[in-house]
Amino acid sequence: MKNKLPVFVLIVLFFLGTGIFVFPQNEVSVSEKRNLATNESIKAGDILGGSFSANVENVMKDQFYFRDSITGFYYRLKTILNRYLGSGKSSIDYVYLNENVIELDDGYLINNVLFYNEEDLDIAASKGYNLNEVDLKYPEIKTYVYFPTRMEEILDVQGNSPETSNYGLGYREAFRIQLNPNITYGSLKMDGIEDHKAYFYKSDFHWNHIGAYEAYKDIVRMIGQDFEIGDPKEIAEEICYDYEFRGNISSQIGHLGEADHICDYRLTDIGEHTLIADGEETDLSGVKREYAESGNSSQYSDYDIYFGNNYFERIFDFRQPERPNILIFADSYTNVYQEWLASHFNKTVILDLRTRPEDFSLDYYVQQYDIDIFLIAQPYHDLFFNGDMFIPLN
Amino acid sequence: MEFNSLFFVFIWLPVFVLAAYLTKNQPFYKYILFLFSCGFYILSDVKHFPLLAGMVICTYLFGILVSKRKNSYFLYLFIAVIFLSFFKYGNYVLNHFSSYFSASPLRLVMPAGISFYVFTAISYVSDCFYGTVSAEKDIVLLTDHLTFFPTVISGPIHRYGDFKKYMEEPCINTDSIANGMRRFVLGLGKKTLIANQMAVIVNKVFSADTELSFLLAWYGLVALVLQMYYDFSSYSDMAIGIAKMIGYRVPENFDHPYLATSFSEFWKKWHISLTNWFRNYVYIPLGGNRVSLLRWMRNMLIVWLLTGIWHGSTFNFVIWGLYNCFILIFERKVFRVGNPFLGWIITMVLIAGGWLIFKTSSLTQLLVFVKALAGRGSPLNMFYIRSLDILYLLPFVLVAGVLLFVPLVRISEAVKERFSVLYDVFLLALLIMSVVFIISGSYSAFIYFGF
Repeated sequence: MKNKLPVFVLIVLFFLGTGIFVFPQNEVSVSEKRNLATNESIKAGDILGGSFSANVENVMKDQFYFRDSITGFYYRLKTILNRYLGSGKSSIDYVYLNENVIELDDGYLINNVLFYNEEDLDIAASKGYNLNEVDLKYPEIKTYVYFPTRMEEILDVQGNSPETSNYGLGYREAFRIQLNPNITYGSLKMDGIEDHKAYFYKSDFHWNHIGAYEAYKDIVRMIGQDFEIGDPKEIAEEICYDYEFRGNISSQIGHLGEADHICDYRLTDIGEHTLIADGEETDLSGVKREYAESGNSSQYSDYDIYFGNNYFERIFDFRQPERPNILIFADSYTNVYQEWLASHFNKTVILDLRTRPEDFSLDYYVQQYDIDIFLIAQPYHDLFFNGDMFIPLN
Repeated sequence: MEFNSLFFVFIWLPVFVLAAYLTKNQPFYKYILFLFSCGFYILSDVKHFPLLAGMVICTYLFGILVSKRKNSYFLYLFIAVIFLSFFKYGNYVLNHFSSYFSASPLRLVMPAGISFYVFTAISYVSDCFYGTVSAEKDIVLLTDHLTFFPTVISGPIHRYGDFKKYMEEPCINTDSIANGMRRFVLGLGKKTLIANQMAVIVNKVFSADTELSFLLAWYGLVALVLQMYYDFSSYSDMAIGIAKMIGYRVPENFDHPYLATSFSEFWKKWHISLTNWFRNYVYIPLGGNRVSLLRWMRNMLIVWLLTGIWHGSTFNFVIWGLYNCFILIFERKVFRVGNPFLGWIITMVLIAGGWLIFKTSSLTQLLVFVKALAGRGSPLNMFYIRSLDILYLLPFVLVAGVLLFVPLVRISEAVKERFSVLYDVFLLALLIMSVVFIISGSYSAFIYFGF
């Protein structure tokens, strides 16, 4: 009897192992936001190619029973250990939950601070130079830059070398000194942890509706110094949803930590308009309404579900010919305030260069929409470091 | 394919054990072993399978030839050494020459397990030469021995005589399967729960140049010492366990080496199969210690130089080999500490020093590390240490450290008799935790801030 158990376990292992390939398989991991390996990735020909066993292994790992629960258990264990062993104090209390995620007061998660890296420094400087070139190529168009400061850029960390000190402000300076004086530059005020907690989600990289509204007001006032676009509009209503979500920063620690809720503002006097996104007329409120009525939150990164997909091209037309036309080089941060901001202009073209087509031409948009203003509004990771966000000038 | 993979644990191993069990008394049992061993190698390193096949054929032919013409043994040795040296050191030599001609550096990929299967092959032909075994005429049987999948990649190196005796009457039953499974799971747990976690600490600490403080250096060194033992011994445990499942007794490779009270004793307990190989096929043929003092020192130097370069092609392995050699000579001929406790402390310090030489990639890095250990490194930067995300592994380090002093294999033999059910439940929990860690290693959140 005593030796039956190990033999029994061996038999069970076999049936469990083969069952992975027989039972229905998941194609997507909602929590990890990626496609999972399935049986289709296993081909007999891979034996000669040397990747057969690796492909089988990937399928088994991705399709293993209760995978989310297993990884959730692991990350829970790791988080508990890190909270006891990885906590510390600089100017504020912090805990490293993994090498990319820091937990601050009240469960606020931020990414790792920006240690010095020569390659990143070159990219940041090149991004500034790129904007300069845009400004020089279109001298009749006024260029503005606006971005939020996040806590990971300013967290007080001093090491024994630049490589282990927070160089966040250094990267910003490397970017900014490339800009010629014509370019107007602004950022969301961030003096410390209380500002961060006010303006950003706990578990997601994005700003919340409050942070987005502050940014909207800053941008309107910034552009309003040079153009007649009216004052920032007032808040008519705040709408919050009960659904909990854990965003993209918490996804790096198995979606543990405190949850967020989506909230939104409805502003006064937005006005009638059309929106064409990637060539099709659409209605953003439709996406929001769908979320609100769904009653079934996905529980992961609801930010993009609520505020809509990141289209390459969105064109608002508020039919205000007395107002200027603006082209915004944006990313998902813009999704919150795009309608509020567009209501101050005649035509607003919002482009996400990460998904631009191969035949993209900035000249086309400048001429087609008679652009008066360029606005580059992105957080640091896109503005300073994302090579896909270089503005092509061909 | 690795032993600590889901594919191996859930598919390959059960199918292999079942196939072996069903065919154990059949004449085609050897073909089952052939199929699984060649299949394992193909799935692990298909591009270099022809090399393994070539080595097997060459060894087979020379085994027969050596029994008739003794001189051919030296030709075989020459071929085997050139074959091994080409792949182990070819990159170093070729890149050295290419730098003179400003050519692009070449890159030879080392075949999986080449160091082990070449030594296993040399062991067989040497045994034929010395008459310890007769030349094998059955090429399938010899192939089974040389490609035996539990040991082909990382040992232990086993001798043909033992394998041949086993193949005459393989004894596979529920007892062998159960006992082998227990040993395998023990090894799997050591690998996934300890060795792999120590590797995380070691990789990060040894990449920290400008922030290598006293605390970080010692944390890294302790993790390195633990990693070296747990990583290697776990693989041996798994190999021994798999072989045991089919009734074959592969020799033990580690015998609590970190409990040794002298450096000589350490090398009798560490990588035993490799030490035995060098003793049987290099040291003793050179005369061993039954020669004059100078010749004996020469013999030691040759053995340890070869041991060093067997481990790696870069210069630090040569230094490591010489380091071990000089300490052993000193201990044997000059001075050995009498007090066991003091002897243990000194032995551990020497072992740790050896692993530092083994691990560091340059003399500069070694000196930086030693300075940090002595308290002359960078000032303490706890933010940086926390950012490495290695502090949560401290409990693993402590458990691994304590377990070093626990004779796990001996205890398991005793415990499983009296508390067999409890012990098996513990091993089941170990297996489950190992699977949790294997799967969690594949968690990969798409870190795209825009979504």
